[in-house]
Amino acid sequence: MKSQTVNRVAINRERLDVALRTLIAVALGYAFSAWLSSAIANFIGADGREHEVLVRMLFFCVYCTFILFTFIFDTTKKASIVMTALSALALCLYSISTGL
Amino acid sequence: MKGNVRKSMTWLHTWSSVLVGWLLFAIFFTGTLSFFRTEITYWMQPEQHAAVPSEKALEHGLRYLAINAPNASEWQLSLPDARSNTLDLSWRDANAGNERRRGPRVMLNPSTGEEIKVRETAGGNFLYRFHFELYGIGRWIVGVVSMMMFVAIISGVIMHRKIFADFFMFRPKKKLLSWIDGHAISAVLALPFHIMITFSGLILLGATLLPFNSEERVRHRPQGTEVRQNAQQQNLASPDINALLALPISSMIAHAERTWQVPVESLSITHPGKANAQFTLSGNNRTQLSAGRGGSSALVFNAQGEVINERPASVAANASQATYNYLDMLHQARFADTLTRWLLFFAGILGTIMVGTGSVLWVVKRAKQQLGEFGFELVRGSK
Repeated sequence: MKSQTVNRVAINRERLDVALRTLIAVALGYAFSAWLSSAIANFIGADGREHEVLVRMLFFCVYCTFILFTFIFDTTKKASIVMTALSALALCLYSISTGL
Repeated sequence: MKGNVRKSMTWLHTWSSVLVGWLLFAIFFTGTLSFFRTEITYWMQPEQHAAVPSEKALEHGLRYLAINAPNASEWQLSLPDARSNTLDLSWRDANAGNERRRGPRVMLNPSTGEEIKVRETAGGNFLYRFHFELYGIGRWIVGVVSMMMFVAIISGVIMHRKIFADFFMFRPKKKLLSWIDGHAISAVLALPFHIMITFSGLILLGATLLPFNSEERVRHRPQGTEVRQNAQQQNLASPDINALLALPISSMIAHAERTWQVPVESLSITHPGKANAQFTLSGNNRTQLSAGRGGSSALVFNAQGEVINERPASVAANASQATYNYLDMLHQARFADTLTRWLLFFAGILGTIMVGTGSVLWVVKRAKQQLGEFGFELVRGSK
């Protein structure tokens, strides 16, 4: 009985772990990729159509890398801290690139 | 996840693909068939089969347009080519405003000049549109699924310990192992294609998936009233058929074909039947893939058959645009001759097999332990 309860707790914890990582990967990853790819395009000095296609191409590479790394960390806590810090850094870079 | 990188990647590879495997299979399969959408449409419209290319195609086309679209501001004639035996005509009616981009379209038999009334079917275009927008359900879904596919491919490469050794291994009649080997062979054999087609598909859907990034392109388009006024200002007398046929269009075509060394594919006539008529000839004379869709040059003639303008092929303005154009052209096989098209088709079939075997593999692997469980039955049912 006790082992069944422990097992269920472990399963629920794993499910929560997966849900949190998925949320970080999808939502935070989207924001991170948007900021970083826009910042790179801004730093390069791309404008108009060039900016648009450059961001498009960079975005999906960055997004894929972000998702992979979110699932590589051994704990969700570590993943969330590192990915949030990286996103904050990307936001800073984007702000600097736009001159805010 | 807990465990090493390879275990994490295996988990991610499994779940990012198995959840949408059934949809991915449909998208990949219809996309692969779309490499031959013109041929599929031809097959599904048997009325087209009577069409035979003829030297009189141009004459028949001009005669039809002079009778049926005398007041049009522009005529377009697409001549028969390697992929289509029919003569396709369209025109822009000056009085109809700007509601339609290309105006009415008809298909003629180039040898007889008779209009071909094809049956009501989208043919290969159904598969083509389904492939990227699921017929109205949305490009967003296709975009999300493509992103999951991209993650699955990259994680699949990382998780493989011996990617090339696995490629040369096939163990038949060993249920699970056979599925694993089939999955690995189909994935590795066309791996560059899988990466290219998924990534290029994503960037083609970029306008939908990245709304923050859409460049505002404001174009001034004349409203219907403006067009009508312009049309009224012109003297719209019906073009004389004999005068039209007496024009040196054949020598224009010969000149263009001598210049490009490729057949002329289309002819556009602005202000047909007027003294200021212009004849724009274009063909498949693309020299650079990086130039994208506007990579063909054109020759513009006046009614006397003299070249008045040589419209050069567009050139990609920068490296980003050139890369984007390459991927766009590759994804849609716009450059491909028959052999290349078949190669792309077989690579697409391998991709479809990869998705299919991956999904079956998941079910076979778990059949013993999880039979009857909700999650397992849900995924198994969706396959």
